[in-house]
Amino acid sequence: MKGNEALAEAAIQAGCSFYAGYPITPQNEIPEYLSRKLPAAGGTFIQAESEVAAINMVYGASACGARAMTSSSSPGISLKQEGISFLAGAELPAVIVNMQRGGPGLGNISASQADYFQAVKGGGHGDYRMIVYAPYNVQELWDLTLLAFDKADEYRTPVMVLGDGILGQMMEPFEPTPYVRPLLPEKTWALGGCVNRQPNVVRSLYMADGELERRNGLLQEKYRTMKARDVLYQTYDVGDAELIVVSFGIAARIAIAAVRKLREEGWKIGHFRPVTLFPFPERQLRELAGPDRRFMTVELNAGQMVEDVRLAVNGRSDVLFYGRPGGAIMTPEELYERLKDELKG
Amino acid sequence: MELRIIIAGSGGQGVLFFGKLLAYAAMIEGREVSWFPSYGAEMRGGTANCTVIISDSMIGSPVIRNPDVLVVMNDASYQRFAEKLSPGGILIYDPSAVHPAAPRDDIRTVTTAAGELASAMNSTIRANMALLGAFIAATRAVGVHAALRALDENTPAHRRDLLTINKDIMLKGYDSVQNKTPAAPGVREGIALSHKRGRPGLIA
Repeated sequence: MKGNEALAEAAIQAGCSFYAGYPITPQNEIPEYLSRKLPAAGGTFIQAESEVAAINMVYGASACGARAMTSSSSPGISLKQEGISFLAGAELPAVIVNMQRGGPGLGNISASQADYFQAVKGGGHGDYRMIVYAPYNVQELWDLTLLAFDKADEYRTPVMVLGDGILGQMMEPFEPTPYVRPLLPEKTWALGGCVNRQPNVVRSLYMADGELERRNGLLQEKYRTMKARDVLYQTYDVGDAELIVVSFGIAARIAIAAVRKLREEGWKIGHFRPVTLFPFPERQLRELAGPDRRFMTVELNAGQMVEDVRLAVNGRSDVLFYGRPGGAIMTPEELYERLKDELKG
Repeated sequence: MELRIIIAGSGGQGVLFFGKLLAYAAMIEGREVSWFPSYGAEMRGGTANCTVIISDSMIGSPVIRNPDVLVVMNDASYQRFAEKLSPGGILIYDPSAVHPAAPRDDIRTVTTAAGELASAMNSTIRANMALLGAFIAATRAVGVHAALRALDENTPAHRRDLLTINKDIMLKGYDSVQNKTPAAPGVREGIALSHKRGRPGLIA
């Protein structure tokens, strides 16, 4: 089962009952799989006429209380930004999957991580954020997709699963852990026919005096709660490390292979992997920082997350960067050599 | 112990399926494995390839630069990947399909008449199965039984009629390799390659 198919099956297991999407490589196995399996599981699959239509169908389905998902790859995710901003503004839960490819523009179809800024800084308009999960193997594509649906409902917010072309296309063994639904509040806000109650209204337009600011205050409160409760990260051998490599997603796979090899050779090197890109593990990185230690951020882009690592470390350690922009994939061998040069000083 | 394999040919020759069977066989044997294909435009007539990594511990990058074993099914693939094969690595091909201009002397070469074996069974397009058999005999990366089971599990209901012929061709490919690497004694059948950085060595 490819990464894309594992993600699609996880969505079904999590009770996703509505999917709309428009084809684009390298995520086509997601709609392909769901077109067969989602209707069989009692859900609705729609191949929309465009990415914009798909995200707005998700808005509609979510407003009616469905667990709704869309997926695309970089150029298609750009088209969805308006809809994501509306979902955030209307406080509607949704899961959005981005299997990143090279950009800008149509770029190419190989893996990339150049949509980091767009994902974590609010790619659409307005002061909004969404939880962004960055899986680094097929197991996490499964686990984090299950979690994404729960967090979307818990916070009434869009949640993004940010993968890339390699993760989506690769196969490897994983454990399809059964989905256990947590206790979540009833969707009393959903539009489901208002027999015996006042009509619900789902909107992102707040024109009355002071209304929008109050609304934004509530959103920011929600983002502060996420920062306090929902940070996920993983460390490897950071205890005595003089150099800590920071990377997420597929770049972390590549980096960990190089870091492990250098560890075996006796170098004091470790790895830090943010699993949530928003909320970002700021505090955890700050606590690791110090004058005797350097960081190197490794990304498949020209340097995006490195800015957040620098903010987190706040001058306590030097933060270096190594990356390959859209169109290139780095190999563990290449990174091994670069890191070794750095360790030798 | 980690073995990195690239299988390359042209679209339609079954290189992705070769890799998939290999990955499933390794999974059946309880090992760590990753399978990563070339995808997109390359599938439509051009070259196709996939990378399979089999390991006893967590696999880092599913994408690599230098394979330990290279299986090529056409000249274009040979030209693209041969120089990337690690020193001491194993090159596997059918000499009727691949014609190396300047063979390397720092690698082990294993050839099999895969196309002939397959066409003898009136099934030329199944040369990939013969090469998979030869691959197992040459590397012991996975066991024959695991590969046969992987084939069984990956043959959909409407293709069951082809299962026997695929198995036969695979076994003929296996038998065609003269200097088989013996299965390591006392261990699970079929794991005979040790891997040190860039230098796989054979455990006879």
